[in-house]
Amino acid sequence: MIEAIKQKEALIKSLSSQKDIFNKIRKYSALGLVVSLILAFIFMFVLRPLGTGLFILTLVIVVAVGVLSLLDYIWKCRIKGAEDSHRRLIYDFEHPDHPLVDEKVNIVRKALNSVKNFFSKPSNIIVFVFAIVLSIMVLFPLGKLFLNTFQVGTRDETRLINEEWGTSLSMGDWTLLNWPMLLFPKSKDYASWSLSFFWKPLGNSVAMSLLACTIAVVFGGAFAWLITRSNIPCKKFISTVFIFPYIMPSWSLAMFWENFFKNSASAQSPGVGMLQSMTRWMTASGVGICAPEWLIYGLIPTAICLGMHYAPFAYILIGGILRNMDANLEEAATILKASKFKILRRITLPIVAPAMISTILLVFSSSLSTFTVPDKLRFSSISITLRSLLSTAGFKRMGYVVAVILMIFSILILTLNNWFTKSRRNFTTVSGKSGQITKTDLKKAKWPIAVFAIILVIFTSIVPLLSFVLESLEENSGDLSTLTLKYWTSSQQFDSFIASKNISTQGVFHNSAIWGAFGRSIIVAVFVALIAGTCGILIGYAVSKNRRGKLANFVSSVAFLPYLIPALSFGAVYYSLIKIPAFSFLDISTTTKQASAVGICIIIGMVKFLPFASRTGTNAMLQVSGEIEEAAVITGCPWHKRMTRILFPIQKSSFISGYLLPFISCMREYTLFILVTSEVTLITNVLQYFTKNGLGQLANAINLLIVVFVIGANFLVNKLTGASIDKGIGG
Amino acid sequence: MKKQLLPLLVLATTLVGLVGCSGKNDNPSSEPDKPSDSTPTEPVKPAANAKTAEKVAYASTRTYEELVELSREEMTGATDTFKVLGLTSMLKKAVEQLIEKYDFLTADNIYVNNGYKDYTLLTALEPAANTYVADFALTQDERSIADYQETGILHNFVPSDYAELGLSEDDISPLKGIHFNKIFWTNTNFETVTGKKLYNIWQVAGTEADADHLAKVSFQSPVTEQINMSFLLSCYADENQARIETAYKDYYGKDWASDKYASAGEQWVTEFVKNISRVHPSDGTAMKETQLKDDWKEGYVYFGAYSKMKDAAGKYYAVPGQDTDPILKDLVIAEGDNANKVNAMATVKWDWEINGFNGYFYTMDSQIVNNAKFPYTACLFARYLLEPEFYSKTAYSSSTPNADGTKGNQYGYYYPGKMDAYGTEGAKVVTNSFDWTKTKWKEVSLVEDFDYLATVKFAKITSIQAMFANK
Repeated sequence: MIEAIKQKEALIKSLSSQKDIFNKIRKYSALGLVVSLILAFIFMFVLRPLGTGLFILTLVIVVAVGVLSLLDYIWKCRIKGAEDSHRRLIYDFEHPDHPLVDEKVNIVRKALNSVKNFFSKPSNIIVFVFAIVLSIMVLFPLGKLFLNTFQVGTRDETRLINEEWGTSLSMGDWTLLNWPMLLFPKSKDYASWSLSFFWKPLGNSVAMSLLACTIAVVFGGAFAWLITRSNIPCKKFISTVFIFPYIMPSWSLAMFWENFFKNSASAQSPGVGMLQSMTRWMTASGVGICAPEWLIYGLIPTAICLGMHYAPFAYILIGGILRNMDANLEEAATILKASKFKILRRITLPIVAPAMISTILLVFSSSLSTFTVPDKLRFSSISITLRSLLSTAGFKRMGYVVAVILMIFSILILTLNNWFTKSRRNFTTVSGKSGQITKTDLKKAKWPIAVFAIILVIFTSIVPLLSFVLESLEENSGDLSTLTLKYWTSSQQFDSFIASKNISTQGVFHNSAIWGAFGRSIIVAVFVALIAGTCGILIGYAVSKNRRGKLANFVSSVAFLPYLIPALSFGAVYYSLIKIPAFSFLDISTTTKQASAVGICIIIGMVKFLPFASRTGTNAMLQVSGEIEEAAVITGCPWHKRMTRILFPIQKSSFISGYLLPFISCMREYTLFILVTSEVTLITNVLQYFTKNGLGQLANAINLLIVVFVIGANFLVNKLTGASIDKGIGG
Repeated sequence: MKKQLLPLLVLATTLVGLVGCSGKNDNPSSEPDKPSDSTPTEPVKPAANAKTAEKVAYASTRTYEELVELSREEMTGATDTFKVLGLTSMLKKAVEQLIEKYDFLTADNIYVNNGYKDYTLLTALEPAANTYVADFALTQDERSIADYQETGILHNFVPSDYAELGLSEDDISPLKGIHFNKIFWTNTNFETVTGKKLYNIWQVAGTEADADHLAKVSFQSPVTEQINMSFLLSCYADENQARIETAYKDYYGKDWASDKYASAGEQWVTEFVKNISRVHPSDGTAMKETQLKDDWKEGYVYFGAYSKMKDAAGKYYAVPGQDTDPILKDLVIAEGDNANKVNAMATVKWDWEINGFNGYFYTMDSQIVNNAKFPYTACLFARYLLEPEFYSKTAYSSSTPNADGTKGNQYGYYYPGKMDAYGTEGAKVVTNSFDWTKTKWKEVSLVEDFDYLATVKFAKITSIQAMFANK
């Protein structure tokens, strides 16, 4: 017996040391993976063969990490088995009269008991249900998208691959060649295409995203500091108005940018914009100030618009930390006679660093895959390539490859974000909230800074709204002498061709197409918000109760995945779903009823916007001490009462904020729903339809309606419940 | 262990389902659906559950009356909806007329969605490889259609009486629905502003050093507008080289020769793309708004859809300086709702005689969608679109009147069957009295060639994509 125990101990020791080796190799491989990927990316622009080699190396490392993880898992199981057996031997040795044989006999009962025990906890049931539901609704589309990259689906896709690689594939065959076709084609012609059509746009997008991050962090961070840590006047106004650009659709900012800066001197932008129109009196020739081309279209304006759009995001994240940080740290430094700069450098910045990094990573990820802003401001980004590939015969599968690459970027970024934010969680848990926050006295600079800040927020938040108002009132864009109310009040049809399709083109107040679509958009947004928000709370609850559980982590991660899937690809997957006869009741082309389109939009929106709600729900639940619920459990309070009477009221404002985010996102969404709606289903459909058909005044009026409605809803909810979008984002 | 196994179990279940559901398309295209003259025996009517391709092939052998009966048979008592997808508002009118004509069709069992843009329609049709999407699609971009036909997503129906409908062999594969064209055009102030006429395609290529070079060119990106991609690809086609070379000789006074380019078309495309000074987002906006309101004194050459003239016909703008402008002052409307404004259509100059080509002549084709529930009705509908009666009812519009004030054929809309010049005795379908005839447009344009586009080398497509990505 002793000999057997000793053997087991030796086995455990040997297995553990082997496992340590796997772990070490895995860690170095992961590090190598990141380095290799970065180097590969850099070398693709400088020395392509080396870049190609590094990419292959990256793929090899990915496979290696996977294998090592598997080995690690197997070894873990082996060690656990050896340990159990070791324990049993010791027990039998110590209790020779009561061996553990019974345990083996009752293994079935034991398994049943553990299953019963597992499902006795509501949080486990939630986790289990969501694991299945999300696997079907998220992993399935995702997997399908991924598998699509390994197949040639149409004749042209097959022809393209065969033409380049000399293969003899047939339609429907599985192949790896879609990837090298896009990334490292063999022939010179395709290599130059790959460089200009994939690598350069990817580089452009990276540059655009980095610039947008910088603008968002600098702009948002500075305002966060001014509002939370200084005595700047008009704080309420600045902080309220500052988040408008985040509430607005990003493309409406791009629309504003073009409206504002376009001018008669620009080759790309015909027409006169607000700036030129307002400054005619300033120039002797009466032409007005004409912004240079690079300020209207291209990298700079695209990055500025995205930066402006995401600056409130940075403001909320960094502001949240600055507001909650322990002021004693800074006070202690002040007492020790540290200079302001030193305090900023050694205390404030390190504390806000995780939030800044979070902002940078999330803004980077969102900007990288954004389509509407670069499209409007004519910047060759990777999302334009994606859209083009998806719409060109023979290139669709390569479009899927781009979509997967964008997702890989996002997943890497998310992993980095999770890694960085660990330190943030530690900080807030330890310190808690401080009642005393020392405000920096701006002294004489107080008012000039306030005026500058107000001008800035007015430009980014109020002027866009003003431009939509003006554009909806001007007969000729940019010409204030042609102001008219007819695009709001007239019952005349402004486009007889569109009207002949039974789509009203009357003034906004008389326009049945606008109001019908607006109503449907509200219905979709409300249902999406209710369902996604509630699911978010449930996921948050379940995850917070099973923080170390693998299944809970799985649910939490999968719930976030839709954030990483490009909207058009996501919509396309659900479009395929409604073509299955069982789901045809959701297909507007089958039922001819707008209700069908509304139904499928609710489903798609619910899944796509779940990440916002689940993150908010999880953050909110993690802030609630487990003891509160435990006390209720002891008193025999059932689960639904604990949720509705205790947990929800405690974190009411955060939860409601979790409902607000999907609501707002849904109200302004277009690309996600385009395949499952008609031209008049949702308000964004009507907006795009009118824009394409030259009804610019009506389109601007709709834009204004959307923005005002969303801001109004946020304001109303804030007043009624204390919840707001910033709580949703900040957690 | 239990906690680790659960996610793995869920993941494995999903993956198994995934692999199970992502099978190969087992319904590829059958043989070409064109009726065969050599068939010695009477074709047998396919079974109700036969593949769409078989039914379409069978329908192609039937007379009009038999086709009506087949359609009646499948629509009578049916509870499903007959679905039509497309890109033009004409489809809605077509369906309304179809319902009027055939008593077995009602508004309740027909659905039309014509709100797609080209790429969204193609994306919408893609699942038809494996499942039901719609019955009929009127779609453009013959390169994609060729791809979808081979893949088995779309099927080509050919009416047995196509010759009687005025269609030639060129019009049946794929079956034409309606022709459109994209052209080079300017505003009517162009000549005054530039001091030049638009007379040769090489004016918009080349460099500033060339005589009569035109540097202000506005074009929609072929990266997102597939018809423009097809137009540029057509410049590479062998059949179009002679006219491009002739234009070159007339412009430069020497024969075309190059070490750098494989063809004159390739040189023209490369130089043209380099010369494009503006990438406009919408042909409609360029024609109705930009040319008059913003570019009146700019001297731009545009390339865009001629059919957008209908948009310009309904648009009126007040232009700064219109009362003193030598051209505009005579166009300012004196009274009515549009008083003190100019009609945008009146300032479009579209009828330049351009050496080389005026533009691109392309088609929306009638296609039967795979897995159609009502393939015979879809074939009947495709045939109905070719009837002169249907065409004149839907394409003629009071906003583009003839010289005598009667409803005129819209600019840029051309009937695939027999179409004559305005005023032709006994003609059923005529062009607008102000427009050129279909025959002339085809002569002065590069024509969309299904066979060429179906086999065009992908390297050409990618080179054009790259040129635009680098702009």
